[in-house]
Parts: sequence; C-alpha cells; structure tokens
Amino acid sequence: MIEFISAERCIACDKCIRVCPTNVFDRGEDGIPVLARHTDCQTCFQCEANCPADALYVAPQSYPLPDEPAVRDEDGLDRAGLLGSYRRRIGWGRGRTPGARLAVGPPFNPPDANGTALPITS
Amino acid sequence: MTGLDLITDVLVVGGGPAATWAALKSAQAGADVVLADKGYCGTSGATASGGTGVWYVPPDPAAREAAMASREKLGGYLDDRRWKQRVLDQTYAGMNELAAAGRYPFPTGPDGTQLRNGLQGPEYMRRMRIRVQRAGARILDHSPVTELLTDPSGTVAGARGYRRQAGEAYRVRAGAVVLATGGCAFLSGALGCNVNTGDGALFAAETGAELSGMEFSNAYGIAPEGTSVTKTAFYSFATFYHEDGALLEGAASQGGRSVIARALLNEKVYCRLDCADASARRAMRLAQPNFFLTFDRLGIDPFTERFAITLLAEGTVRGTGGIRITGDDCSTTVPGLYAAGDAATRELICGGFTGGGSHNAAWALSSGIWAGKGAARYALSFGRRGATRRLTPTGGAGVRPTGAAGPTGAHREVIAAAQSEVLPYEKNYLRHGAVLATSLAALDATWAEARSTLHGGGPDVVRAREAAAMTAHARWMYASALARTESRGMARRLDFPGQDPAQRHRIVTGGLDEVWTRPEPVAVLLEAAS
Repeated sequence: MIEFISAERCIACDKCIRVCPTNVFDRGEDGIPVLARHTDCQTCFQCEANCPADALYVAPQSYPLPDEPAVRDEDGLDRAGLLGSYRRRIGWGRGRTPGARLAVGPPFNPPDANGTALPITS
Repeated sequence: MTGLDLITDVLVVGGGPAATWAALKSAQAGADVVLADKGYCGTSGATASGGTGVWYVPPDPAAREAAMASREKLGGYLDDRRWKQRVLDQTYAGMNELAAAGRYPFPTGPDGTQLRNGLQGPEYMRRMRIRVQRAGARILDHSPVTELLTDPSGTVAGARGYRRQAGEAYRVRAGAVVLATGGCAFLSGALGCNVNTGDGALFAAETGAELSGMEFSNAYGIAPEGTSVTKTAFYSFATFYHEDGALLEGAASQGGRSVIARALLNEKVYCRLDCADASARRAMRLAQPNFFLTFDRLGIDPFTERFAITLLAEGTVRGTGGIRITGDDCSTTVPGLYAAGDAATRELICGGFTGGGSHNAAWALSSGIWAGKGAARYALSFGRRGATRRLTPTGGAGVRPTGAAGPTGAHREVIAAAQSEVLPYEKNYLRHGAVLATSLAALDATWAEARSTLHGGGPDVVRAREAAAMTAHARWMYASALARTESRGMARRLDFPGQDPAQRHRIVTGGLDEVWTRPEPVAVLLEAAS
C-alpha cells in the first residue's frame, strides 16, 4: 500500500489524486496529498508511476504497515534507490527510453514432461 | 435533478481497454461520446496496472489455424470458430493501428520487425486515454455509474452515477450504452482488480439482460504472500515447495495450480523461479518490470530464494463468464445495451478455459471496437429523439430497498458475506456440489436481506451497489456451476470429475431475486471433428 508522500519532493500537482483508481488521496490544506482512504489502496503502484517528482513510495504489502518506520524514512528509501524506481523501470520521464520498447521477454512455456506446451495465461 | 446532467449519443461505462476502444471507435463513427469510469481512465482495471500478452497472429493460414485450435480442448469445445476468426482479424488490425496511430513503442525482435504480441499496461492505457480524448469523447473520471435508465419500452437510454471527487450525483441520457466495466474479482486484492466488482453484470441483469459462462469463474492468480502482484506468466519457470524444502508434488502454475490451492488449505507453499537461466532472468526484467516490484522491495531474489505464495481470486476477470452477447456488434438481448471486454462472456473465443494471457486482451480490443461502432450506429439511427424519452431508473438492491432501509455502512457486512463464499479455495476453486449448494443458499439469504434493506447515501451508494453486484455475481456463478454436473474447461467439480459429452452446451443465467439457468446449444460442435 501507499505508505509515504514526501512533502519535500511533492510539487502539489494533484496528479496522484487524479490517477489513483481507488481514490485514496485527498488534497491536504497545504496542497500536499493526504491518505484519506488508506485501506482502499489496492497496491497497484499507479500513483508512483505517475508522480513526476518521485515523491511517493508504495510498499509491496497489500495491508497497512503502521509499525514499520522504514517505509516512511525518506533518506532510507532514497539510499535504497526506491523513490522513483518504478518510473525509472518503465522509462517514464524526460529523456528516458520507454520500457515498452525494450520489453522482449524470455521464450515462454517450456513444454512439460509429456511434451505438451500449455498456453501462458497472464 | 441536481448535479451534472448530460445528453450524448453513446455512454461507455468503464475505463479499461474495452471501454477506451469502444469510446474511440464510437467517436470516430460520428457519435457524441461520454466515457464514465469508476476510477481514472488510464490507470484503472486489470490491464492498466498489469500488462498482457495479446492474441496477435499474422494472417498466415497455418498460424491462424494453430491459434484457433490451441484452446479448443482446454475450453471444452464451447468456443465458436467464426468469432475466433473475427477476433483474430480485428486484433491484428487493432494492434497495428495502435502501433501506427497510437505510436505504442513496441519492441523490436531479432529479425528487425516489431513484436506486437504483448503490451505493458501503464503505457498501453495512458496512450488509449489520449486517443479517446483526441477523438473528442468526454471522459468522466471517478464517476462510477450506479444504475442504468430505460425508456418506457425497456430500451436502455442512459445511466445515473456518483462523481466521488466532486461529491455529487450525475445523469447521462444516451442513445445507447456500452458496458465495459470488467469482470468481478470480489475485492480480493488481485493486481488492479479492486475496481472490478461486477457492476456491469448487475446493471445489465436489472434491465433484463442475460449472462453466460458464469461457471467459468474460479480463476486464481499466484502472488507472493501478502502482496498484490498476480502476474503469473513467469511462474511457468517456478518450482513449488513445502515449508521444509521438499518438492510439492504435482504443483505447477499451468496444470497444477489446484495442487497449490489444496496445499494452501493446510500449510504454507513456497516457490522459486529456478528454471530460468541467466538470459531468461534478464529478459523477464525487461518484459515485465512490475513483476519485480514486489521482490525488489521485499529484498527477495526470486530466482535463488524461496518465497511464500498465495492465490488471489480473479473470478470472472481471468475466468470467461459475463454478459451474454447476441449480435456481431456485441449487442445483448436488451435494445440499446452493448457489452465488451471482461464484462461480456469470452466463451466465444475461449470456451470454458481462462481467457487470461492473450485472449482477454484480444477480446477487449475487438469487442470494444464492435460495441463502440454498434452503439454509435444504433444511437445515430434515431438521433436526438433519444434524449427526450421519459426515463426510469432500473437499480434495485443497494439503491432502492424494498423494505425499511437498514443502517448506513451495512454494505460492509454484505461484502464480507459474499467474500466468505467465493474467496475460499475449498468453496470456489475445489468445487463440490454439496458445498456449492450450501454456499448458494447462504448467498441467496444475503441477497434477500440486501434487497430488502441495503442502501447508501452520497458516496456510499457506490459501495452498496458494489456489494449487491458481488452478491449477484456469486449467485450466478454458483447456480451455473451447479447446473453443470460434469467437469469442463476450468469449471471442475470434485463430485463430477469427468467431462460429459451430453453437456457440451453453454449455460445461460440471469435473474435477481430468483436466479435461473438454462442450457444453450453450441452452434458448431468442434469436439466431433477433432
């Protein structure tokens, strides 16, 4: 779930408020988004992908982590290269190559013991 | 009424691939189009957060033949050859259009040509949003539809909804409505699917439309325990283990997932992607970067370390059941109502096997295009007369209780009750007639209570309607599963493990207070020819 919004990095563009499919954010009085409906977060990482300021961190757990300060430690997240990491990987942002252009996967579907190749289903 | 009140030719409900293709083609056909999405068109739904293979097969006769044959047996011979040909043709054209007009940055293969058989969700859907806007359609984000409106003849003529960021109700009067609201994953937390609560199927049924294939609704996706990323393609490189490190015999992502479900009832199950060599590992990171978000953030190397997994319900998102289609333009039995994408049945191209992977994506694109064009043609045929019709709201459970309205917030109990019957593996995945019957009785009781008392004011009307939609969905699923006293496609029954040649038919269902089912013959019987 979304766990961290960096007030320092946030440029108050409202983009996360707009793009969140489950409407988790509200605009705070200072312009910084607040997690008004935190438990509605579906851990889809879309807010992070769309944040132009790399100001958000979505923890991979699909439940809230109130007792894990590490997921709200800006310096720690930054040092670990996590802030903005999804955006980098999909190549969103000025001067980057879209990740889609490089998305050549492995040969799929090694046949099973009987030599039957079942279709990949995702 | 107060709030936004719009008049349009075509209203598209939903915001994923099927909805955006429908809105685009409808607008290009000259219709005024409003697209109303529960979330944000471009990020909401199963595709936007994930990504998908696409059933993109060049028009080479042998390749097309092999593609059509590939799932016939798995799907229990319930698909339709003519529809498969149509979808292959339309998907080929649509993906090529996405490359040219949509400028989707497809990767280049070893032979120098673009590989157009896969899409990254965020990139695909942000481009589709732009295309819809450029075509002149009006997008209403964060505007869940809550019920359809019909004219005195029962023809669908618009919808009501609630704009949750504006905090007000709205209405759209329309010449035709396309339902592209996705399948139903019962708020299981599967990737991107919490907006997929089966709303469209409920709206359709309330106007008298039918559903088909609802027994094919027991899809479960693999995810690392406690997380959301149900992207399962790469688990074909996995080995599955007991907690002590011993091999979990028979477990596999394909063809052995029920073994995992059975084990998870009693123990933790672990996994490692140990069949991927170094070059496959590099390719996987490039192909699906979001697959690795979970692992990188948890500090797990999935290729060398074992990690606990879970199975999350994907219901009719990765299943194939949905609103029954009756025309080539994805019309339904109700005039003015069209269905596309996962909201519609995908049996026509998948039979009873999951449409996950590539077929659902091809179906979303193709059915979206056909529904969008069909709805435009229909709406433009009678012009703005459509807007002057006297309209009646059709919503029942959750919006118009038949008895004394219950307490606000009661949707939570309804949702929990529905989830307790459809999420557990021992009820929905490993199906047995006696268990299904008990579950269906419980769901019928939940429905009866909800129909009588459930309602929601303001934004809660959306939650109440989601609760009603999930309960209805579960009842159609289990009524259909009980009607199929055999195992076919993904609809397996522990008490009827074999496939019964006498049941090579589709099962149509519908109804709200009384759920009914009836068999529908398959036009072309493929099994006999194989």
